[in-house]
Amino acid sequence: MTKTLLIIALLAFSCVTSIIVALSFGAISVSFSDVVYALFPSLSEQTVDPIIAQIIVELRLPRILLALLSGAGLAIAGATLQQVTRNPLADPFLFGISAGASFGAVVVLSVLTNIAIVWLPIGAFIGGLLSITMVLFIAGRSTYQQIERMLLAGVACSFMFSAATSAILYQSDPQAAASILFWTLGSFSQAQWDQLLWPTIIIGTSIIAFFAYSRQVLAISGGDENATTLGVSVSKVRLLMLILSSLICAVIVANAGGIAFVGLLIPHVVRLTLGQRMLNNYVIVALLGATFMILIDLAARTLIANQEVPLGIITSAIGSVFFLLILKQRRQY
Amino acid sequence: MSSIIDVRQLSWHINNKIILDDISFSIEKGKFVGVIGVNGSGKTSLLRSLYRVITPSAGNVSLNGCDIWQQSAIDVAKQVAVVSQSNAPMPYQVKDVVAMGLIPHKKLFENTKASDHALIKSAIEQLDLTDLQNNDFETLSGGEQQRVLIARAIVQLGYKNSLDNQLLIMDEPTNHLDIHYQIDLLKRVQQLGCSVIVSLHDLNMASACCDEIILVDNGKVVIQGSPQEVLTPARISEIYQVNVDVIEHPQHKRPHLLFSESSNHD
Repeated sequence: MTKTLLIIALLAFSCVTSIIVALSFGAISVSFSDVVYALFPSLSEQTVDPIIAQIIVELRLPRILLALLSGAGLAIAGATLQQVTRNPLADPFLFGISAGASFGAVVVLSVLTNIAIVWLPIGAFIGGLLSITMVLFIAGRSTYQQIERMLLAGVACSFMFSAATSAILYQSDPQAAASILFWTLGSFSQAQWDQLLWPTIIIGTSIIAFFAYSRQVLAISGGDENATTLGVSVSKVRLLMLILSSLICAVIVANAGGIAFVGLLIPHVVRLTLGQRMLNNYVIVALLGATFMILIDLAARTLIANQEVPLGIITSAIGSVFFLLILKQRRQY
Repeated sequence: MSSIIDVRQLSWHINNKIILDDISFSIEKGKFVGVIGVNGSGKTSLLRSLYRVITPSAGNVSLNGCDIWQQSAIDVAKQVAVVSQSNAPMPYQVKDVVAMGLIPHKKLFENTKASDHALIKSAIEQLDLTDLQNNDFETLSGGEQQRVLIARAIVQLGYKNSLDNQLLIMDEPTNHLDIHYQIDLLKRVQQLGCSVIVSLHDLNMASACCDEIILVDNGKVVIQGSPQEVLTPARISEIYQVNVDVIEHPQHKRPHLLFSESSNHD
């Protein structure tokens, strides 16, 4: 128990530190003290340069908060899905959400060219929901072989929407194709304060629901029959968890594009370093996911001067190497 | 004395294959009942239909006087705990597995209280698992895992309840255990004080431990009765296709079966 609290305290500290570091670095470097004073003006007698303050509060902070929400949301969604499907490869994106969202975005960008770009997140959100609705419809309510049906339907829907996306892209002009490519690789560069509302509401409520159902999810991870004898409505809980994970993913994809690997990587890091039982400790999973995402976004902004590296490239590159190293070290797992 | 469970004309078929065929029986509260039968006779299906995993094609199962399908899964789980063979790996600490017994009793946002921790601790002590409570469940031996699941059942059934009106169902809990752990396990279960239904392979173990035995064959109940009534040489040799002699066990005076190869001593 005390060990768990220690881990949480350590992770919370790293999360706060990474926020401050991420606020201070960028095209213009700002000292840590100026970062703190810009956030809490009442702490200091002297005022921070208003341009610096604006960069911190209006540009970097919303971006970092979106990264924090996305990292926490994807990590928790991945951890929950890995438990309810008892499949270590389960990841929110395995269920066709990103393919569906890309499809929605492509439709907005190239077919409905005359409407404003603000519709892109909405198109992506609807596309993601369309895909997950199909998966849920095929998976059905019966417990028998539900997991297999879910996973296979997810893979099939992914391919279907990818095919449609490719077909539309093939017909459209190169500029639309380039912007779609950048979007599918993910970026928080568009983050603004007024854009944070829906991600906060959806990810926040989903995380609360995940906490509420954590005992049931733990029981399902020990087998469907095991959970049934403990009074858990297995099929209902599993579908609810899938719907919540999908909402999280759809809202993240809509606002920041496809951020690969985080939902898969963070639960595995927790599982391999702290043990599978910590997968059910959503505070740890969320803090780790948030910290990771903030640091990845920092790298995306600062790796190459004056240029954004798409998030998906960094998450996939760092994630895959890190994954292989952990697996190599923990062979006995 | 009233019954803990009443089974009336229970049938279950799947893909036109009859698995359970018009089964009826009652079990009195507090009894320790063994279910025996050859492989594929329907023992496991019968138990699974008692704990609400198999939906019967016909007939009904009443628990403490109420049909189990008229009750919610949670209400049934408060009265029936199961130690089954079909768990997925649970790479959790022993005390986490025991704590799973709280699940049917906890509302969505309810915390684990001090009284819950006390219940978990006493269940762990009762099954002599204190030294193992921080170990990984998956690293335990088969016998130790069974003891953990029984401790979990104590938490599940004993939460703000006496065990008198509660039922523990165990599907072949003694499989793969050596004789010491088989006897140890069944002794511990006998001492719990709840009603117990347990499927067993070892007929002599069933004879020694059970108040009553239900013999299942081809999805039907052949006979329900005391070990003396059920374990007769003629019946056992016919159903198990082996040569059987029955002697009286020198200690507990119940039937003890001696087997030899084929059944050609008619």
